[in-house]
Amino acid sequence: MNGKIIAIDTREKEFENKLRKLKAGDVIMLSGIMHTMRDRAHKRAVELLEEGRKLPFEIKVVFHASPIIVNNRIISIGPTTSARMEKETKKLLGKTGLVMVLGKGGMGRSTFGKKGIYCALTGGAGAYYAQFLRIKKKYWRDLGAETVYELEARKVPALVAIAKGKNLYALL
Amino acid sequence: MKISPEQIEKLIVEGVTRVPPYVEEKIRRIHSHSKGVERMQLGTMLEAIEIARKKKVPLCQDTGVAMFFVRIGRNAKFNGIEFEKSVKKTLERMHILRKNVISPFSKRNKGNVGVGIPVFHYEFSSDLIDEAEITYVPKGGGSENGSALCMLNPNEGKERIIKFAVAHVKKLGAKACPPYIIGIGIGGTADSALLLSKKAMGRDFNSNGNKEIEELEEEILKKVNALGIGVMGFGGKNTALKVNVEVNDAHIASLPVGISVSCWALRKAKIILSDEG
Repeated sequence: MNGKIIAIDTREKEFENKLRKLKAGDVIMLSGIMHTMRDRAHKRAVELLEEGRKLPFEIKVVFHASPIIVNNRIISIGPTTSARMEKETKKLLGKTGLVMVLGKGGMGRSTFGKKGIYCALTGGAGAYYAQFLRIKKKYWRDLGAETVYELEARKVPALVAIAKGKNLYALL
Repeated sequence: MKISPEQIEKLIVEGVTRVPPYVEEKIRRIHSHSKGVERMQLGTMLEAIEIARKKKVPLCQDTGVAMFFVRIGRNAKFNGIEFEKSVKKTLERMHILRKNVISPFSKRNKGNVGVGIPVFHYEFSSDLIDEAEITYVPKGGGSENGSALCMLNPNEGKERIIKFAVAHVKKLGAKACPPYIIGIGIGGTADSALLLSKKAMGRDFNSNGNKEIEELEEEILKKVNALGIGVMGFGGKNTALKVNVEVNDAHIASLPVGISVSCWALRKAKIILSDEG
């Protein structure tokens, strides 16, 4: 784990520049906008792109997750296993504004080549991450628990786990 | 003997908001010796445990599919039909559970009650008299995907069992949120070996009293931890907190081995009903 904690906001001008400087092992405090996407949202997104159409939302940061919501407030949210979205993530990285993925368990070495970084959140800790995230908008509500939520993040602690071809995972 | 909707709700809330004390203790112990990335991960787990307990919110957003393991005493008047009806009704109205159940092909969302879900397992137990013991286990998808069954050759024996278990965990990697609690069910039939593995997973960290099994558990744990997967996959010797093994007899031609994996956030809650109320 590298030294100090790096604050980063998806809404700041310097966001992508800052991203390029991150190394595996850095710890960030992420603020700004992200979208939750899991299995079916990925499938649908890739299908739309392959038909030459656009997504109804602009993605920069994708969070592999789906929350528990009570009265429009998130009471528990945490990462799901990223490996299931491997194939689709490769496609989204090339064809959309996606530059950062939040998840758990890691992804293959080849997925994040030159473009994009992967940040790990701790699995099973939904009660912890709920305190940093608020719902802004909802897309594809027909997907039920897999609805795409546009979230506003306030200082989510995350570990940069894959960046510039370096991977912190022991067996990946 | 009756279980009220309030009792079921309480059981479910307790189940999804807490880990058993023996799991928390173990996480605390390894946290106190950890550093760097491992410490960060374990620290987040401990904070989440605290918040979930205090705010009564689900520790993990994956509140799983509901499993109920019911043990019925010899004289217990347990009405299973009423029980299941009451459980389903309660699950349907509880907002703190994520709507996890879908139809596999149409993908239509069913909330938390669907065809064959929740899962109920019943057994009669001679150590209970006029009581019934109900254990609720919310089983997450990521960890349930770490299940496995292998029908071994009976001549292959222990060594092959160990090899299979260790190779399986290696393949699973960090996908099911390590450090794991691993249940292994040996013997019986294919279905009963898997069920036995789930019961082994739910056993606490004490020995089941059989020295031979204890040694087998320790050997598998040692080898699994030598894989170096580590907490959340970031390396180190804490890939599993515990391996629990249970053994049944088997057919002369069979050696079934079932594996069930729990993430570090093992969740379960128990209630004992008796005729006196």
